[in-house]
Amino acid sequence: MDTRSRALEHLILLLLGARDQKISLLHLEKEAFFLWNFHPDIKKFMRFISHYRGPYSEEIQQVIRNPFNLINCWTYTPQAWHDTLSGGYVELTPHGRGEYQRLYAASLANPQMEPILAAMTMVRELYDKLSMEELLLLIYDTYPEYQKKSDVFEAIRKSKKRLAENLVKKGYIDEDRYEDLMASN
Amino acid sequence: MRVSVVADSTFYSCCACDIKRKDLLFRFLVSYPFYLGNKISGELPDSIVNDNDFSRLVTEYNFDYFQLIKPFFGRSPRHADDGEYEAIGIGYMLDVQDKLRFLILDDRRPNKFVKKHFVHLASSVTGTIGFVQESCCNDNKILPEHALEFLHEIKQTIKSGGKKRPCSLTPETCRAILMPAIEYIRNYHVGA
Repeated sequence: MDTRSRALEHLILLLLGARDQKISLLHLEKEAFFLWNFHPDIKKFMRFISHYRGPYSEEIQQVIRNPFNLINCWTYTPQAWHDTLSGGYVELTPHGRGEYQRLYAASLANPQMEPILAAMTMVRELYDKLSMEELLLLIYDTYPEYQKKSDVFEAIRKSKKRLAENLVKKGYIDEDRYEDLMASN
Repeated sequence: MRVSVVADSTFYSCCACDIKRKDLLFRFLVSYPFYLGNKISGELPDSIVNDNDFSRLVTEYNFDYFQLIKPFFGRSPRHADDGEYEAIGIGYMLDVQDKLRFLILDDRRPNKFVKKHFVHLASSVTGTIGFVQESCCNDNKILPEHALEFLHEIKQTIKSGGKKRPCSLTPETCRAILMPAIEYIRNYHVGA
């Protein structure tokens, strides 16, 4: 159990460090979900269940709030009372940045880690730039099996057209994907 | 060192099926390290995948790269096995490792996706025709006579109408891309 939680904390540290900016817990959890789908080894360290904000991992929630092995590597700021989406924000500390660099260098020496490290950089680059509503729109649409009807879900559904149009305007999705989004329930 | 190439299946099929010149494909395979995954190889004709020399010359990376970008394309199963998304994933990985030279994507949708979302990859993204031109004139990996032979074969295939869209080229894109590339290679080497 301890080895497993230690490995999970290391994966989270690598994902946090892949980009030098704070990240919402919503983004972090969904990006971890993409990695979980991508690489069989990652499946050992976390599980995802359906939730009102899409795929949810209790392990990630716990590790972010109460890390057991990597102490003082990141700070977690709970979400403000008016914020119903972010789940709070996570940011590496200077100590955590140093730990990340050490762990990244050690991981590079392991050929099995190469695709995981590249995938982490990729998901941070792809999804960090989406607003929380845009991310949820794409998540709800792509993974209906992980959604639970809720106020958040309804609010995103009602804003679907505006959000999808914004994604097209920014060039993040093309017309085909826009049509696809508009056609789905 | 940036010498590696990732190509979608269109490139391989263009060589082996459209212009039926496996010998020209192998000239490229011995000149650059090529990478692919099982989705790309699943789209290739048996004459290529069952060739031992081909297996020896390419490196396989097998992960489900589409899962990383799936929300941008949707859950429709028609995309899940598309080789171009695998090419993007492997290309990205090689770029992070400072190894990527070319990412050959002939289809418009994945090509545009990469250029929009991964600006650092844009200079490596090219189509089959661009790759032939660059490998000949910039990298000097392919002799001009072989590059021109390759491009002339495509031109002939389009003219003969034997294939609907060899290398994803239409007569219009042939005029816009293929003919200028032939001209460029001819002039480049005359000038040199």
